Amino acid sequence: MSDITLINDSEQSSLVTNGLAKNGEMYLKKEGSTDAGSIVVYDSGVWKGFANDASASFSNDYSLSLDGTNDYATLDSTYSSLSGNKSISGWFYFDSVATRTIFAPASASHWSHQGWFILNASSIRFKAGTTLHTFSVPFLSTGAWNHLAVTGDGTDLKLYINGTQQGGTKADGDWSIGTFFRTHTYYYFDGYVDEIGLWTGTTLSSSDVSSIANLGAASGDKAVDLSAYTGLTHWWRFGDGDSSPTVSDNVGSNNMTLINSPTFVSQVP
Amino acid sequence: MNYVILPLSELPTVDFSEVAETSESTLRYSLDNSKFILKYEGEQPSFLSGTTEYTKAEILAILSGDEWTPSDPS
Repeated sequence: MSDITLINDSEQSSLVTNGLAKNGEMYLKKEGSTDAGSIVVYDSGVWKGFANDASASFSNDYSLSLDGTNDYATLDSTYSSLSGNKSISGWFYFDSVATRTIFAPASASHWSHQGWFILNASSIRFKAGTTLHTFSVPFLSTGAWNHLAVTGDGTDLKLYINGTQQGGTKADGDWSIGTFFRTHTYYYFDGYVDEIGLWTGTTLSSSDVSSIANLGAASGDKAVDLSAYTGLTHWWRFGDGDSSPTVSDNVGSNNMTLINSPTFVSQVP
Repeated sequence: MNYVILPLSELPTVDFSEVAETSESTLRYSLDNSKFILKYEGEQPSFLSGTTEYTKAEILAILSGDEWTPSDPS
């Protein structure tokens, strides 16, 4: 029987960077690293994980269903200028792909005041500072869950789809987040959303994003326990432990309020 | 869910306890503010009696038009 090598996050990243990660090799994550105690296996460019006992208690049974007509959510406390290191991650299932909002600034008073939104099936836009960036992305399909994440460090802005960076690196700036799932009174989200995490002082690494997007797949439940990722400041789970119209913040104290009766459903990533 | 479109003049007749919308301030209005939409589960509320009902697919098609949604954002 062969030994299993203990690794931390940086050693895990170095294995890939230096071309030393071999398909099928198993590693055990060290204490203090992301998903400490879990087994990770390298498989053709993707780390697949097998959760430890501590994280086995995590379950995800509900998501939020939005019909694309007029339902949305507001934050108790909005962010008008989120600067420096920050990241946002969530799962999204599109019933239809048209212009659909993920979030908009609290100050949005016109259809042009966008934050983060799907422009069409091959373009995603994100406003950083005063610039509205357009990321060209692989075709976004309907009827399936996608993991989307954006990270910023004050200089570089990166968009990830299902754990892979897409559309190049843009110039980061302050983010403004106030309302989720619509821009002013337009571009409502049509589909399901789940497990949105916000890191207000941390830039997730590419391996962190890949882990969030792919680690759960091995167990058949794509969503993972976001509290395992250092620096998480807000985590909205959409139905797991919530009582409508409130979506509780499971890490911080910034709840969402659901408007016009979107519902919690058992469709989950 | 069923959907209807009402002219703005009907706004005072809306019973918000019978529809999914939270309040007058959260309604979705047409771009010229001449009409708004409501939605409800099951039977049509009595205050809407006789109003044309739409399915989700039908209302989304209507809402995607230029009466309700600005064209390509920039």
